[in-house]
Amino acid sequence: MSVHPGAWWVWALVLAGAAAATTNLLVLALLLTAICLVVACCAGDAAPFRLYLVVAAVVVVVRVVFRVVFPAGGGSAVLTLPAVRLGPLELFGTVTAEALLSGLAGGLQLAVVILAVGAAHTLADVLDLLKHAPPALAGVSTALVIAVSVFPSLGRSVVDVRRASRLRGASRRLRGLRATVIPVLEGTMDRSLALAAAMEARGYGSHAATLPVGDSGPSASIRPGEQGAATSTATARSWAQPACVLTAVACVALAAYGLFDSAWPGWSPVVLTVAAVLALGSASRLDRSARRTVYRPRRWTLASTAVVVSAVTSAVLLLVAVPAVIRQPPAVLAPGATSVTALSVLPDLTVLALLAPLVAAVPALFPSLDRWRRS
Amino acid sequence: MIELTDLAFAHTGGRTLFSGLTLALEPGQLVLVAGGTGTGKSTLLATLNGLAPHFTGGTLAGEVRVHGRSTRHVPPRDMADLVGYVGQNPALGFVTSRVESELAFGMEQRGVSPSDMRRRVEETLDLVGIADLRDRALDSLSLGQQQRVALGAVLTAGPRVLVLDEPTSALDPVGAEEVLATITRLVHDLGLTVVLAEHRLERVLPFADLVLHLPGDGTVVCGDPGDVLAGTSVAPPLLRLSEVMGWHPAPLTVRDARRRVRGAGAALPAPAGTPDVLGTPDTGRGAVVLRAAGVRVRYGPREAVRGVDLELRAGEITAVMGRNGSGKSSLLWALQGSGHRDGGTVQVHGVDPATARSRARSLVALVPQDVTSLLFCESVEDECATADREAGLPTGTTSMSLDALVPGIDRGAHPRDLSEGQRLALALAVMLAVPAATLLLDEPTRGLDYAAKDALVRSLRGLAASGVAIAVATHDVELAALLVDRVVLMAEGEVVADGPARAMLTGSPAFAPQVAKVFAPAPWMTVKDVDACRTASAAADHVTDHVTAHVTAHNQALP
Repeated sequence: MSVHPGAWWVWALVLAGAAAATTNLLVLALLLTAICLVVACCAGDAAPFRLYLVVAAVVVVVRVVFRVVFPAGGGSAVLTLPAVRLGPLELFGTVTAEALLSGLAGGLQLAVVILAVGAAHTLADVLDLLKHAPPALAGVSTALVIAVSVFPSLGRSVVDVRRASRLRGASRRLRGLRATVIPVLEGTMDRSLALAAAMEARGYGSHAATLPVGDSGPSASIRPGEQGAATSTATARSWAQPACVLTAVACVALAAYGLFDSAWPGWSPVVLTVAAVLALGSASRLDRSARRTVYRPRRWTLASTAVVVSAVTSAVLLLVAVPAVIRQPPAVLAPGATSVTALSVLPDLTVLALLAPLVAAVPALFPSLDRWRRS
Repeated sequence: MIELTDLAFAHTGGRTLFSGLTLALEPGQLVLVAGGTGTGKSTLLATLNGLAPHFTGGTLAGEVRVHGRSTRHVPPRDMADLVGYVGQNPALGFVTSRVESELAFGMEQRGVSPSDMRRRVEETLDLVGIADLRDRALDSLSLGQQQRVALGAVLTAGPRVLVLDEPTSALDPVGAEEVLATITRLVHDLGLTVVLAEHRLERVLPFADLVLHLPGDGTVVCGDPGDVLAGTSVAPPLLRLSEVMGWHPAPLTVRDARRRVRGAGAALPAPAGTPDVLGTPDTGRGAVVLRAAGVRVRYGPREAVRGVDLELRAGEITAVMGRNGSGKSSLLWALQGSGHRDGGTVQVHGVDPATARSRARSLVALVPQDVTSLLFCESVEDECATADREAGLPTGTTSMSLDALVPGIDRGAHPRDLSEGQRLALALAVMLAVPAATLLLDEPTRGLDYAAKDALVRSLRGLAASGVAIAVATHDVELAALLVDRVVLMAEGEVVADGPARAMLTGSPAFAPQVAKVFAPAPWMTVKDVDACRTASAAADHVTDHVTAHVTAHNQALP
């Protein structure tokens, strides 16, 4: 069953959103498991996912260590370390269970978001997804396609240059940096020029389809009178479109920030996301003259719908059907609060809170369904 | 198809590269542009679709018309449906990451309908013979495959003219033959006009209908392949041989030359190819400098080098040959010590260069394939001075040794502005500022013309005579014939054969130089060999007799 790359990205982003609204350790751990399960079952080559796993683990550890280094108010003490005073800062001291738990929950939240993005990257080729951008956004998507494909070569050239500079003898002085940076920059410059020349020669940005063969040039171009009017609207459009795209990107970034910052009102991520969608929509409406087609477009299959439905069901169950006190246990929510009388390490769980994350793992069944149907 | 009228080109602030070129090319012609480095071959090619001067800058006089469309009025991107252009390193022009999407990219940008696009991609896959590679990632392809994908990517636009800049320079002999077979099929079956520049003329000359020779003085000589190139500095071995043998008109293929040897045998003065005239092989006499045993290199699951044993001797030049990707580079890097090694030992004078750190350079010096990665200063002078400082030598030493390699390099020039040959010489001088016991070179002849190769041969011979052990990874068989004493043949990461150059090169079908192919099974590899034997032969025997004599001798010599 082939799944549209867009479906995987929607699945991942919805799960990331659901995780951002949860601080229950068990629910987060279940979400994490669901994501890893889907990657393990559906990905052909899970190699890129490994890097995300490492990053996620590092994030969790850093968050917990942070809580140990910078103590946060009262709670039940677990460990007392000698306090260190650095000017206005007090480091170490009493480490409370609440602080540790909130650090762990925060780390897990971020880990789910990182792994969700990693899963989407592993399951759906970014290039494949960018291909399906609306034709009007062709300029942006082509630039992204090239950036994504060319980026690995930059890493390789850094490795090559470092290896070559070692041939001249390893010296760890400033020369070492210079010997790396200059050849890499020069090489990058050369490569970009070669790429630009190749794209130019292959007709990127061409209007040749309108040129009759054998014309002698000037006669085929627009007459001077028309040219003025056509150019001014074209210029306005050529400015408006990038502006819309940039607005959309900024809105998405702010929405992501709002999701994690408790000081922002709860409706702000929703409004910003809607604004981003509107900006992208207007960007693609602005210029409909773009002629761009997609080679062998991926079809939106039943499986793609199932993937999206699984994530949306999971998120809705979690946010609507699970009581807030389960989803966001108070001990974790406010690490400084001393009102918690009995703090249990494991938070409470309801049946729905247990089932909701597991619904997101439904796509993991697809490969075995496939095999069953074939036999 | 292509009309050039009084064409002249000069780079901004530079000299005129060529002028007064008037020429009309017909459909279905294969035109070869020949000339040394820096004579303007690439620029001439780039004028054909307008990249020069629209993209590169410079001044163009006269006019280029392709199918009636003039590059004066039409930008290069609007020429794409007429002229397909593949640059020197096709991998740098790749835009996507997979073969199929790379072929479709241009059509997607022009808004070709999905059904047409599908059909054209399928046709093109078959046309250039890459249907079995359609799902592969571009960076996993060999250089020859990349070249064919690049050809396919420009063909999907349906051009009438193909412009190719050095399509086979970086390829091993087998990969080059595949690419050339594809090109000739396009010429024969589709009637495309192909204009290509090349340094390895011996590979392309048999297919060319017309040659444009740029001698470097601003003129362009145009004409029949045999006539134009004979006697020039870029003449391939076969043409040099015809000159020595007095053949006229010169044969362009090995097959023709063979017939000439057999047919006109009676009229020829006989080359008496006895080993004492050719010189006995100079192998196995010097002291062992580098001794490697069981060297293994692994990249993930793939084993690039599998247990190689190798000894390099003082004063001996060894060629490491084999297909692209047979593990030559990995072996050299592992020997030097800065590449990784997963098993085995390497000893230079009893020391492992991998653990010798700062001393490693004096044990093994390696000149990598891309020499620009070694050079990081803004001028040649600065580069030489830095090398002197690194080596603790008095200022000017490297500069002097550079003059000994290739004289007259402008000291104020930026290393990237030098020609390939000059840059290689600079890298050699810089690396050898610290005298090394062993010198390794990885593909030194990419982009070198015949004159630069001769200079390289002279300097390496000089170094070998001073007692340095030298190994050169290369698939340039003509260079190997001129330069090396011994050949190590690698395949799949293993050494499959190791022996004196003459026996190895004349005995292998894929790695035989042109002269060896002509006179097989006689042991002559270079024009110089043939010449030496001719002058040495007092008796005017028939060539045919000698050939038979050599067949017997050769068969006896084979194990």
